[in-house]
Amino acid sequence: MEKKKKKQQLNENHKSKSIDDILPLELIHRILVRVPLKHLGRLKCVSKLWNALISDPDFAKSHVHLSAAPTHVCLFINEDSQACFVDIDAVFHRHKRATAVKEDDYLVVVASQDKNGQEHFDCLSLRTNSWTNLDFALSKPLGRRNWQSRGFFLNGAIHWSSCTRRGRDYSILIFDLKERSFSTISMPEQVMGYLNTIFLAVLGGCLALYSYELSIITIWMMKEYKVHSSWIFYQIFSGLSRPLCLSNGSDIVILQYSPVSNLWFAKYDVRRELQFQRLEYRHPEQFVGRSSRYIVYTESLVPVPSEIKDKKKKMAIRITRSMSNKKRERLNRDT
Amino acid sequence: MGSPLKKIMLCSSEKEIFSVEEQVMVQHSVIINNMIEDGSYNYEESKIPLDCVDSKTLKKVIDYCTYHTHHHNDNQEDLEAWDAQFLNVDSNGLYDLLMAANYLEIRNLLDLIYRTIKNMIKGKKIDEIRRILNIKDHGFTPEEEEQNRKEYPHFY
Repeated sequence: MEKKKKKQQLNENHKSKSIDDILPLELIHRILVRVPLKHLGRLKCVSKLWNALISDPDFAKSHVHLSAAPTHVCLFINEDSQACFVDIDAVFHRHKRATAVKEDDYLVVVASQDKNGQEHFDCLSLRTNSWTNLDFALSKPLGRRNWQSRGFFLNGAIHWSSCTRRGRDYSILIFDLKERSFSTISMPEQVMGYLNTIFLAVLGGCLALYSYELSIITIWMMKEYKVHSSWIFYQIFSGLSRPLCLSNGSDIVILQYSPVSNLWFAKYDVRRELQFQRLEYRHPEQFVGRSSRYIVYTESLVPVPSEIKDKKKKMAIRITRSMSNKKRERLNRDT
Repeated sequence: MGSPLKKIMLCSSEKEIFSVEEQVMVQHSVIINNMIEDGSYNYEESKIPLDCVDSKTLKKVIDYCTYHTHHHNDNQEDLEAWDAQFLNVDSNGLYDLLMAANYLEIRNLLDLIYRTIKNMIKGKKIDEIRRILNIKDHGFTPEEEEQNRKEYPHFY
């Protein structure tokens, strides 16, 4: 009763309308599930109502459907097992686009080769903590293949680029996590017989391939998913560098090595005739010159089943948040 | 004969009547589309009563639907600029629009408003978010609030 009265008062006094009093819970929920994960922790402190909404287990599920954004991270590891993350999107202050994960489970898919060169696929569900063999889902044995990339996640499916050992016949093998089925896409004709390793990435939300040699980076982008005629071709001439990621915001990001200790990230906007922008990134000293790996992961509130987490040995990796907020602000101001 | 300029009547909470091209509302509002399709709208007599939408808000909603019907072929950047200008209203205006869009089930307008509010709060300090959204009664006890402020000083 009390609350209703208050609501009315607030409505009458037009100036003091509060979002919590006016909007039904459902609408506030729909706004909050759109907020990227890294901002959500803070929003729990805005009001008790928001705290309750965000803490609800169902919220995690809707959030993963709607807002789980792939994050592009460059990971540097040094000999003391210290790791350093550079959030590439933050370096360029990019907006992210959503990717959907369909189930509230974490699946680990492992591709392996036996002594006879036969491929096997197995899947570990972290929720049930059990392995399933996926070989039945392959319509025919794959035969001996060269694997060109690690598994790459897009559109609810894992993608690998591979080629037959003899024919240099390149294709992309796709495993759909929801359907539990395999399919393949063949690569563009120009790729056939290509000798350099072909990597997979996402460019502007589309599946893309790239390959690099010396100072040339070659990129093919599949404008429409699984439509063979939609491959688009790009070529970038850059100095000593290699592509790091093809960012979702339709920017090609490359990492350039410089003789001095600092790293350069450069990006090319494919929508604006490969317009070029370059940023220096000052590395924490202990990571200078170390090997780097680039990963894409999806942030999620869905908890990793704790039973399995406990079984794992805790890895003694100290994570240094490499870029302080102040530095980040400075970078943004400089651009 | 399915003339493109066939009109329908919408009635605001103040009983003000707005005459709109049928096409415009059918294309955008799921509710109105259903009414026209199942024949429950009578062109001679009926007007659609929207008791929870005031005239000012209804006018804006109609503006949105009309513009997007006639300019759907414009390039994305122009449309986004128009949308940004369209939503340049105070938070009360935004809530009213959100409620109206929700009631009439205008999906692209809903999506636009969700996105706008999301961007209003993303990355902001809590005190600022509370000010923007006018949250005075946050519901935490003074002890809880103090505890939060102590634990996460950088949030505030």
